[in-house]
Amino acid sequence: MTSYRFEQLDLKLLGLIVSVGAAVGLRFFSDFSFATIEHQAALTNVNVSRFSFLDLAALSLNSLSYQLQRDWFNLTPQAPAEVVGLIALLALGFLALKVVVSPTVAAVVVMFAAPFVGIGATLGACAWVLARAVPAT
Amino acid sequence: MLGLTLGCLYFIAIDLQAPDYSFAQQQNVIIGLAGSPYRYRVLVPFVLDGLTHLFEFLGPTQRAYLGASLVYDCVALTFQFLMLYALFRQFFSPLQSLLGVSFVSGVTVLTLAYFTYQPWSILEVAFYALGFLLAYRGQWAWVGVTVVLASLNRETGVFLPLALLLASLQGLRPFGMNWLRRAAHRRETYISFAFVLLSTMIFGGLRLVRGSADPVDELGNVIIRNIQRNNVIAAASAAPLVLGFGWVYAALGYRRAPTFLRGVARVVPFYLAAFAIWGWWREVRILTTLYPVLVPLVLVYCCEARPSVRSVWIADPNP
Repeated sequence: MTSYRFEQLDLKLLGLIVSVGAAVGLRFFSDFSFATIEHQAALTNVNVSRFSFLDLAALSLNSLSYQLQRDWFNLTPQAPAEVVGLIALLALGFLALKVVVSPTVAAVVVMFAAPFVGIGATLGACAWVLARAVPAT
Repeated sequence: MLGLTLGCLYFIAIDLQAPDYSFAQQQNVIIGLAGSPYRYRVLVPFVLDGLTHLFEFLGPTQRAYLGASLVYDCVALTFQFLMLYALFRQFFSPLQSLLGVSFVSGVTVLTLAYFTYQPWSILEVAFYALGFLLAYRGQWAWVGVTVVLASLNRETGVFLPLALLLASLQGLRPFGMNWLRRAAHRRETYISFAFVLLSTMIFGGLRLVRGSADPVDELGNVIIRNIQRNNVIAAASAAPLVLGFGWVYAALGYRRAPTFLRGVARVVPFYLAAFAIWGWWREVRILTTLYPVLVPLVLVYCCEARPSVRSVWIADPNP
């Protein structure tokens, strides 16, 4: 059994990851919820009572536009928890990855993935909003 | 891949925000009706204009302009990351350089806010990185070309040769006539100084050729806007976040940094002073210009720098 080691370099890299997590989190999740996505769907006349890839693409693009264009400084009540959650997710990802690869490789992978987490969360939430309405029809 | 992704995010966050306004701004720069300083930032608008003509098959000019903007955003951000990587490689291993680029790409996401049409800022970072890289390797003719492009891109292009000039003045103490004489004989110093003059001449020449323009923002209005409560709070939050812990790391890495990196970092107070006077503080996009200066210092703190043996920088004793 190998023991888990945490060195000074890891702490430095963790600082970079927290910085990236805060930057990405604040830009993507300053107002992120299913209700917001449904509101975006209503604004752009996307029908949420059926699932189609065209609707998913339209809703995802509009939701991403809204998230990226809004004043990130003006946080909604759920935003701090979501931003902290993203930072924690990235930090845990780093700590888990560095068991199998070097700390620097783990940090590169996690920071590289950070913007994609924001995009993926938006796409996933849009898909969920569209998919959960399907059984009701 | 990162460049393309960030390019798409930039396009969604900025170009799709107010497409009519952006297109009007672009047209105003091309026909010479834009206010100061936009009228004199000619490089990217003319590149975008050329690309717009190429994309005319998309339909109306405005749609072609959007297509051109998407391509420009992706290509320019990819170029920016490649240039940063190439600069970092002069001092760090491939993996450490990749660490720097992935850090930059992450924090860049935060800066895509509080502006509409500012496409020159993407290339500015790339020009700084390229200029530093070429100077470090002694390719001064190409540094000259980069300075010209950076000066045609944005008036802050002058900080590129200024950084090199400040870097070349290391180790010349004590100040005095002897200091001046030694500085004048140092190749890096007089070439950098010539490039500062060149950039200043381009700054003046553009104003002569394109005519004087009313400022888009009066300095008084900028100052008043900056000190409004909301803007102070937003700036106080955004400016630290633009590098996060990177600000502290850069400060801690400074002393251990290779001579060249310490030298070009001397431009930071000058740039920040200009930003504090003329910039809108919450618009932290303007601070991304310092990435090629500060992120290498961040890497110095996190990893051990091993300066390239290809360096011909006079003040850098190759280990």
